[in-house]
Amino acid sequence: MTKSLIYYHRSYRKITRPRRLFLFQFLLVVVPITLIILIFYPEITKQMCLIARNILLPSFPPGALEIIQQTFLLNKDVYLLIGPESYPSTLTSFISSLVMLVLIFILQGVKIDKNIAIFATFLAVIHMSSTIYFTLVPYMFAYTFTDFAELYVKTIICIWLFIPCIMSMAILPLPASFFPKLFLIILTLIYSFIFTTLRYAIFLYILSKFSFIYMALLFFAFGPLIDFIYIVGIYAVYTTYLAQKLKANELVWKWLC
Amino acid sequence: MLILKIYLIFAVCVLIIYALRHFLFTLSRLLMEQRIYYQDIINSELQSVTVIIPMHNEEKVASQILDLLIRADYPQDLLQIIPINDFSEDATSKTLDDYAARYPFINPLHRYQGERGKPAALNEALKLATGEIIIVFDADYLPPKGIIKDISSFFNDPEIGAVMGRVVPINTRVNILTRLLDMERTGGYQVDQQARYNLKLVPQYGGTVGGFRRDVIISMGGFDTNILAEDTELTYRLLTHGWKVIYSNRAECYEEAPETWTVRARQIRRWSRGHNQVMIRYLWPMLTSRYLSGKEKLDGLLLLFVYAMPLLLLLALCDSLALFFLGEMNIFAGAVAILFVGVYNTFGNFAPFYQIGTGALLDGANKRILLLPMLLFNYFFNTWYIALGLLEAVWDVITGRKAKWQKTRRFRKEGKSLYQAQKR
Repeated sequence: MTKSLIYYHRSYRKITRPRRLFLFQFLLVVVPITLIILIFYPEITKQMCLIARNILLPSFPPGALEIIQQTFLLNKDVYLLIGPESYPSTLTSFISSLVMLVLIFILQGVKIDKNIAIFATFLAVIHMSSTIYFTLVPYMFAYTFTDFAELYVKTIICIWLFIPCIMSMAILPLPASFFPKLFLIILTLIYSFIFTTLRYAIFLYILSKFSFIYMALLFFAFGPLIDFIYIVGIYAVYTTYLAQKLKANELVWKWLC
Repeated sequence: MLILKIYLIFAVCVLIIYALRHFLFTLSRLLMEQRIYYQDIINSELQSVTVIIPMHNEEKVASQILDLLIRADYPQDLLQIIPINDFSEDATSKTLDDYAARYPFINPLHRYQGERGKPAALNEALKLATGEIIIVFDADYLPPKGIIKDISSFFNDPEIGAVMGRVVPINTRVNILTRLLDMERTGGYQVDQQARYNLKLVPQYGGTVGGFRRDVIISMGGFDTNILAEDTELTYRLLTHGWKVIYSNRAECYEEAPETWTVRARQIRRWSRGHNQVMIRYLWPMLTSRYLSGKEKLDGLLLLFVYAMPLLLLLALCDSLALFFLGEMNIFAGAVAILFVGVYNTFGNFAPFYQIGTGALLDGANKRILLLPMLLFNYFFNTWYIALGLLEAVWDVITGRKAKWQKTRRFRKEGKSLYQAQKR
């Protein structure tokens, strides 16, 4: 069978988009969105705290949850939701240490994919560090709920500032029109607002009800690390869609120059 | 305390440099002018070529690669094939002898004495080689018909010492590991290697699906048997002696990717150990070489340190945990948080995600791109085993210990055809 048209081989195909256009679009996306976040982050964090508080209200006695303010970027107020502080007993910490130790040993022999086992070991090691800390030197623990809330909320503001930048770098060079890509970046931000609000409520619940022993694990394993899973996930879904679309439009590919 | 903070900021700065490098490569591959290899040059005077295939207990795959090479689009009077039976205990030896009896240009080398390992085997094969150009394939590779002509076409450029082709896993569909490895290869070859070739930086000779000039390597004393990563060592040796290493994205060859995590762990640990041995040996010669431009030195430096990065990141994680428990979490708040949180978590874990996504897009892939978030788990896996490899390399240097070569296990069913291998 002969082919009526031979397309460019994948080895040297590329797309033609002026590099200046990419730079222009990058600035067009990043600068205004960053400004919007910088201007409105007090209001966004306030709404985040209100929603998280409403979610948690049935689980806490009246007055246990409090919204406070602190100063952050550009001398604006950032809102923090704080709850009752709960510290683990030495016995709980010690037993948790032993459990983590056993878990780490089990993970080395258990028949699951090694990449998952190593990730689980990473989580277990972080938590074991925390349990050992609370077993040996609990009096040195330097953080209050306000400190953790400050860390969490300020960190996610930084992630919100980072999302337009990393998403623009990743998707603006791809062969598609500008507005769907802009929409995708905004969608990622909206997803992040919702996700971080729900996660804030969950973190607060765990720290208040089950103690600060989980603080390190929550921050290092389920904090910003998880944010980048959905960022990469959204990028992956979009690129998959684009790859499918490009199959029907081979003319987008150019050759060499 | 100050040292811990300085180290964390240092780690973040290094990550930024690598992240920008990945981004530059992505832009170069997607948008900029592509530098083509020499395969379109029609040369009426072909060079003599020797294909070397190191084999250690390769009865499952030996006949397939030989069958494919026999069918290669290259004059058989200019072709010599040296399959090396390197201390095999299975039927490899018999298979090679059967082929040698039928095809005079197949000259097996049986090794049951002397030093073991790929570099030593290659050195012995070089003594028998008659071709001006040496092309090396691992035994599990499935070379297409035109690849010998493609790879050997570099010979007419007198500056080029070695060339590397593109490696494509054939058993992609077997499980999640092979799918993820396929993605890593896509990013590594379709984007990374081609971009380095575009930008006239340092494409890397990978030890298989690649070729080099026989006389040049022999005049340099052959392969160093003390180094596990003989391919990376060759790359830097050629560069520091004034030769160029180039990349041919068109010279594609299928390989069998590891199908179990244990095999993969052993493989990357060995790569890391070998690569870091090269780093220790070639860091200074590369930086002071008069043959390399400033940008080649910079890229060569970043490439040398690629397998040192996971340990740096692992230490950065321990560092940040220590700061956390020491009550110094305020390093993360404020302006530094932007650096730490953004860079450490994004680029630390997903550094090449846009590079891999772009590579897959250029390849015309579709659903496999959806697996990109799974790379998070690979990050921890790679970090651990690569860090172990680095520690082993350092220990090798301190104690003068000699590394033992370990063969990568094959998964193909004996006698399966190329088509069946693809269908798996």
